[in-house]
Amino acid sequence: MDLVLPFPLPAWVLRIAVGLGLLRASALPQASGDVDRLVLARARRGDHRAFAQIVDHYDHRLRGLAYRLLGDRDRMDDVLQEAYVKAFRSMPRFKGDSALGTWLYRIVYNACIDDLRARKATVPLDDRLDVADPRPDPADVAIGRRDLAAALDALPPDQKAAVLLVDAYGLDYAEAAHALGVAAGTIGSRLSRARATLRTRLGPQR
Amino acid sequence: MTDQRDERLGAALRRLEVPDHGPDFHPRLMARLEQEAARHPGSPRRPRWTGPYMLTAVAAAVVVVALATTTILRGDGDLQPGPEPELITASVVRAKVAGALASLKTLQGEVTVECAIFTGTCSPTDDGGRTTMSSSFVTTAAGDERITGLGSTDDAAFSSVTRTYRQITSTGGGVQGQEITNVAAGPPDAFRRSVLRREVASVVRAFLTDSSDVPVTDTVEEGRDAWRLVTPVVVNKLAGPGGSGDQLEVVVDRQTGFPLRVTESLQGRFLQEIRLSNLVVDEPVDPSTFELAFPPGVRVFHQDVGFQRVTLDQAAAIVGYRPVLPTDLPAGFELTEVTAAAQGGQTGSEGMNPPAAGVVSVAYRRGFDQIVVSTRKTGDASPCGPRSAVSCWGDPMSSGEGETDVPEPFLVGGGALAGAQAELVVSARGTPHVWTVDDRLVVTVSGDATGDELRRLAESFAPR
Repeated sequence: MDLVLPFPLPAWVLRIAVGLGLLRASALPQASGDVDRLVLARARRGDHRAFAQIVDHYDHRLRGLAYRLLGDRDRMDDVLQEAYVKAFRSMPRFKGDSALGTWLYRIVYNACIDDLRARKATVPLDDRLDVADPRPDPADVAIGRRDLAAALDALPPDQKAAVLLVDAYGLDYAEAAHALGVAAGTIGSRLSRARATLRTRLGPQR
Repeated sequence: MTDQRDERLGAALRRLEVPDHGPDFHPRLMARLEQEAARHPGSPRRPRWTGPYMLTAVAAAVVVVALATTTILRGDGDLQPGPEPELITASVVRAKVAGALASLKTLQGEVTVECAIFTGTCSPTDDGGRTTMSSSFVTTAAGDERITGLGSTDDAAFSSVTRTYRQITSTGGGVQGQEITNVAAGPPDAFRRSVLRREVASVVRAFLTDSSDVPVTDTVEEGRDAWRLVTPVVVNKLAGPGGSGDQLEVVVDRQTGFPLRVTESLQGRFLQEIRLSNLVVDEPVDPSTFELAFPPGVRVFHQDVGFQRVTLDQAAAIVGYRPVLPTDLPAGFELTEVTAAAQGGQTGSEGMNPPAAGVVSVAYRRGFDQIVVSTRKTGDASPCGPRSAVSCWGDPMSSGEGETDVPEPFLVGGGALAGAQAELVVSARGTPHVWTVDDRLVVTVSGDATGDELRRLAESFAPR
């Protein structure tokens, strides 16, 4: 009998658990993430109501990603409109070699970056590696939501997306790399820089 | 590398406020999704055949006419019997198709599609039965299109003069309109024009190019002596079980060269069929035919793609670099359209190429034949980073992850692109094309040309 999980776990946790023999492989998220396969199949055949169910399932996190990248609700809505329609249009070609959620993250991230570029926002994408930062971890300090939001907003979009996808939403490096269209090593460097910047900005407020 | 995660930071990030959508977000999204679904191959609502998908079917059928017609119909559309050849091969048919496409000016008629699967053209009945749908069509060598559903309110038109595509679609929620303006000269920036006749013509041309050894056999179709051409095609694995064929069959009237039907099947099982009738060739067409007016009260969705029709000098000012174009064009092709945009749409499989900037899209035409050349900046700030921008690009003309295009790599041997690694793709399910990328430009050449012609085109680029 397969273990029924009472709460969702990040995919990497499940994979480790399967690797250790604690879970059967069937407990792993399917290619569609945890969206019902029938719903996914219907969406791929062009059922817009089925696709709306998928949107409902992922919308909160996609909304979070888009809002943190764009910083404005109206822009968030406009970009997500386009991204969701594009995703629906591309559903028949969704290959399933990544989780559905990862695929959607990538579409939304690309749409946000396009929007930022169109508005001539600065989108630095420097892949330089940072050295370890000796200052305390930002999560070890008393983080006020407003402070954290402001510090997060100050990050470049690529670092912001990396820290959201990995630290907040639980993607592993490979999944985040697929979502952002970069190498897994780049995710590591972006996380390192993002966390260092957050330490700098939040550290003095301890 | 270990996937280290800062769980406490993550928890704090998850507690950050995320605003809800605006009040009109969901109604607007549902309306747009419904409109998309109306054009989607697998729409679960009533079977339909409309818009670009209808154009695709018509386009395929139109080209098959040219493919098979050895005697062109004139004026009143009566069939003019031609000489009966002693022996015909697929390569002979291909040569005749080339001549027919190159000289065709206008084509009108009716097309009927019958399908048992979701094809992108029509949908089967809810219980899986076959659906049959018909439409009238008018199309010109300049690219104009008008496709009108017979027995439905569905209608679509593209005007090459205004470069505007308009469509009226009946949905479960009523009638909706769509208008796309300032479209590019052609793929890969053609947006919803990407399904227009010329590109499907290229598919058929590719089918022929790939199939020079396909046998032509004699058969009898509805009491008439006919030729039957059968060729294997690659199954689209993402179309789902039984959703894509492994064989195309073309049946051509032996006396007139008129195509009687084109059938796609999988392991001998019927999937879809296209039949043509009432064809009229090279009859003058009123330009107003391609101006579609929206009925009062219809909700219309607008999209401005942003490509301006310009001169080459003007294009340079828009894109920030001097356009480079091929000089060794196949005989008879002439430059007919230059369009440029500071920002282009997304390209590549699943649209995952970097954002396009500085796009020049140029069309060359010869009758119904078309070759499109596009150039865009490779960019230095792609998601792959400045050091790997080139590697971030995939084939802009990719037909999707479900297809199995097998590119033929080669090194460009001359011209402005000399030394660049290029890929030639000629397959039955996509537009024949060459693409290449270096640290400056991503270049595509696509359309009605053979593999050898595409190579020569790629090796003849020069600044203009």
